[in-house]
Amino acid sequence: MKLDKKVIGSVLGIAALILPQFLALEGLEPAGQLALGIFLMAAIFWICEPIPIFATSLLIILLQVFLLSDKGLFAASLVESGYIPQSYKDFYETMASPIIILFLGGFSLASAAVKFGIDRTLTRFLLKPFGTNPKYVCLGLMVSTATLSAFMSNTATTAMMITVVLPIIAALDKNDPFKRVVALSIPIGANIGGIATPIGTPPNAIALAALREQGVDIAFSTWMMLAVPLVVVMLIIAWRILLFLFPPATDKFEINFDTKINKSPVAILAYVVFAVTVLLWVTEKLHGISSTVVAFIPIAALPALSVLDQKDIRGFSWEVLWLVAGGISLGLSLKHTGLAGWIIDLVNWSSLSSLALLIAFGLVAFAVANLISNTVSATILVPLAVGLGVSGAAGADFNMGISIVTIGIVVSLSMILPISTPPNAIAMGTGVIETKDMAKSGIIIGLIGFVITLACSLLYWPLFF
Amino acid sequence: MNKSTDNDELAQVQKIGNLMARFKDLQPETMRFKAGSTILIEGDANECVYVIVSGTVDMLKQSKETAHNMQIDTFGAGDLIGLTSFWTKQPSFLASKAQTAVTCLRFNASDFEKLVNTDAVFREAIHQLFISNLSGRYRRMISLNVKVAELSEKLENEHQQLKEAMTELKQTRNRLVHQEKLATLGQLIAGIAHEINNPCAALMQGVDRLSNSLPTLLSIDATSDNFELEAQLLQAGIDCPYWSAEEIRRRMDDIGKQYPELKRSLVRRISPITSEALALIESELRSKNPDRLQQLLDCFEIGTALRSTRIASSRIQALVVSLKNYGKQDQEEWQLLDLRDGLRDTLTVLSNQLKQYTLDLKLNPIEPTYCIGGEMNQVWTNLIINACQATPCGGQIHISTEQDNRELVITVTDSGTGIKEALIEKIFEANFTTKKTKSSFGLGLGLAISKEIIEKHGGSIAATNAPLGGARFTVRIPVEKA
Amino acid sequence: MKKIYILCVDDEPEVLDAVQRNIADIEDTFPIITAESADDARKVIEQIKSEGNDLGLILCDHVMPGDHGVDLLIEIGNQPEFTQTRKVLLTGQAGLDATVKAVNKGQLNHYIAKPWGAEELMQIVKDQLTEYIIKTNQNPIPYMAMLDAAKLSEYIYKNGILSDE
Repeated sequence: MKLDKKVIGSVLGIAALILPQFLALEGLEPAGQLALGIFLMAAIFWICEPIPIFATSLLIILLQVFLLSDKGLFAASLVESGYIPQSYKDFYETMASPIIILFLGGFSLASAAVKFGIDRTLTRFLLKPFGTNPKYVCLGLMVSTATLSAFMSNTATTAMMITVVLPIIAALDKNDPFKRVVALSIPIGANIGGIATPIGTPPNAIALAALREQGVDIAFSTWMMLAVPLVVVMLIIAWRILLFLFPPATDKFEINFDTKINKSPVAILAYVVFAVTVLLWVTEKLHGISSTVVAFIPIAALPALSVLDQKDIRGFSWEVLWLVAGGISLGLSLKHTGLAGWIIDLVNWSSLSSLALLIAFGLVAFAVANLISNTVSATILVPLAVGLGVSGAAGADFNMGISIVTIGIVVSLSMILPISTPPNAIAMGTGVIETKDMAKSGIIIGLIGFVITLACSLLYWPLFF
Repeated sequence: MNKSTDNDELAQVQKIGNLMARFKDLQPETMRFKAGSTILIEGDANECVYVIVSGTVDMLKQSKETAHNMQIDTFGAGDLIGLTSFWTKQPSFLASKAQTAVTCLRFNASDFEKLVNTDAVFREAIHQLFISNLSGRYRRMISLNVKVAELSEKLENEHQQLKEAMTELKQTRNRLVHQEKLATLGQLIAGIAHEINNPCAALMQGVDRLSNSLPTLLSIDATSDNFELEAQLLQAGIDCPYWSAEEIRRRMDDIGKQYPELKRSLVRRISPITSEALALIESELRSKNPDRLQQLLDCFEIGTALRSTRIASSRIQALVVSLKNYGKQDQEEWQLLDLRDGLRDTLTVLSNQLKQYTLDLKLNPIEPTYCIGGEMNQVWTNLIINACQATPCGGQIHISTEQDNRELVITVTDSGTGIKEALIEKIFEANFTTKKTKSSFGLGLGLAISKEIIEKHGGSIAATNAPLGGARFTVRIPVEKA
Repeated sequence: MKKIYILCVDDEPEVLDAVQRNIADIEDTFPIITAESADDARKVIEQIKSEGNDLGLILCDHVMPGDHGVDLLIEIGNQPEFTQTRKVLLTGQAGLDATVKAVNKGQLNHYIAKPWGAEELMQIVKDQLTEYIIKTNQNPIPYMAMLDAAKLSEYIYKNGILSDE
């Protein structure tokens, strides 16, 4: 079965790359046809996953360089057709784009946090005020997970929190629904928490990169200002929903885990770098140093101070960076070859109001992201929103910035299935919850989240754009 | 006999001499005896009394038990010989024998009597002499008696110590033999425990399965179809053959291919069901009702549980029978037995130890013989355990019985490295062992004990090296019919 | 996805049956396969190899007719496909020498003395397979529910096995 899907995916993907080159597509230049081939192939590969998704991203850059760049195979004929190919460097540079560097800074901090147990210490500190009442412990778990996942990878945060709660879950009565509350609160907290900062989760990077491309530079703190209120509201709602769906039978739930605060000189250096970086990020508006610039402080300082070694740097999730880079790169060609506009033109958008457009984008993003990678969903949808905005097809009151942010955030609210996000997969893997538990909470939280995001995009975010 | 008495007696002799000069009628005869010559014979009548003038005389008494002459006293100058017999007119109580050359005066009884009766001075003198002589004898007798008492006490003590040492020695020997027996027994028990453990585990499993499945099964709605299908599956379980692991794998593959939607854990449970029985539940396998399939599988497994319980119980029973026979070791009873029975029981009891070896049995018919069955089993156990210890895993052990005229010949041959020629002589000595101390169980008495037992049965045991390498122990036992 | 097998080798059918029942809960995640001698086990291993599947754990008796369990473990450990395979002796009578040999030459991971407890066996099997998943760098999520979930999520966390996509 699995093999078949892989074969079909590969064949379809390759066919999708080649076929558009032999079709007469009205209004699409040869460069656009090539870009369409790459776009379709990437989409099919990302959906069917005959190869890992980051490998598809690398393949995108390879194909762009060979087919669409000024050093590519068809550079001359493309120029002949009136298209000015982009420099091959543009594609390569996506891997060194400020957004990628921002993420790399986040990875460095996260790596140091894991190495010196900053995250565990922080968790204990954050959990303390929530006491032992199961209801509030659940909120505490969600708040601490969300806080950590805002700065670390959602997946690593989930894995860490799961190791903390599993022994305590095991001690609960077998049929206590509170088990499920605990097991669900962590991935939900991680997914929602990822929205809070630019480095929280890769879709944020895709959205930020697209905005940058359009000349909209959003500060670290600005993103937080527009995202954190949403995150807080969502956490509270998700908390109430979980308790409503699975009312706890126990009346005491105490989380005890030992964290020894590492007081070695190296660890203290790590804390200092961590604190300074985060502080500089959230105060970007005050001092004006771009967060993407600040991001290089931990990248350089942590290895320089021997906080991180060679092994730690090898351990970064480089494939995530390539995934984002490939997405940014694909966005470049979509816009530059006019493909995005061409796709937008396939539909008569003027019949839809800007609100309907936003709802449509949001729903598609939500649906797709539940089935495939959030980053990929954002990568595919964000350029279309950009195209819609640039082409002006959607009318004057279509706010491109807000729709990009909406897409970037909605994908993070998709958490219906175990495959929706890696945190969901880990929580499901523990065997404590069943798919239907996750689906129940995921659908309710996702839809409410979608409505609230929509409300933000109509009432709150216009303040920033 | 102290000096003063000596002097007293010498004075007495002098006195007698003086007296003799006075009484001319009494003419003592001076007699001389050579060393070793007898003066008086025990038991003879004695008419005279002798006064020793010089030399020493041994007084001897013949022991009634040993017929040896025991020395009772030694008389010297001044002592009187034959005094009691002379005085009491009884036969001489002691023999007297000259130790050195002896000179003495002999007084004739009649002369003596006459003088005693007539002469008061003589009587007085002679009485004094007699009394001092007798009291001297009496003193010596007492000190002798004391000495005898002391000596016999000492003797008694030594005798007691010897007795104790003997008992202790006996106990030590028994303890060693017992320890050796216990060590062997320990080994046997470990093996038997292992042998019994497997069927016991199977029993437990079977009972567990029954107690898990029966309650759910009994709660089924009886409305279905009179339990006909259930009964059939139960019977199929009871009749189910034992599949080899390879067959189970093949059957699992087949069922997995036939019903790809079944989980592997179910496929495993279905795999032992014969194709005929499988046909009965074909529709349940295809249907999506897991509860019904579960019930039917429970029925089948109750059947297989019953089957395994039965097989396991009969295995335990067979083992217990052999053990019972083998365990007659402590009944020291001579019986007419076929030695092969004991050998077979021993082999069953040792089956766990023997598992790693190829056993070659050639038990030719032999006549029954009188023997102590338990002791013979001990010999077989020692020989077989020795063979196992000498043979590397996977080796061969040959055991044969045959009759050579009036002798039964039993050989146990292993395929180890054999015995060094220099050691063959020593092998039956106590405490001989080639086992490394850390892995040895016994005390090295096994062969010594075996030898003792065989010799008690009038037989012999010999160790040789087999022609193809390995040690061979040959036991020869004469056929005893009564 | 490759299957990860558990191979049980014992000459006593009752023992195989009992082992297989004790760990039946794990069978749908880790298929169990049984063999009754070292030779039989070799056939199974060849089959697993030819199908391109993995052998996660071998639970082996020591004293069996033919080759001994320890020798089988050493032999399997020397095959490049199975260097990571967890090796457990389940036996009542492996002597000190054989056990030392198994540890030194056969990379023995665990020794279970007969008779064993059902829960004890299950726990050991789970622990060993958890180690196997970690040592072979597999995505642990499909196995977490069946194995030591806390240890596997710790492994995800510490080693960055999964990342946000």
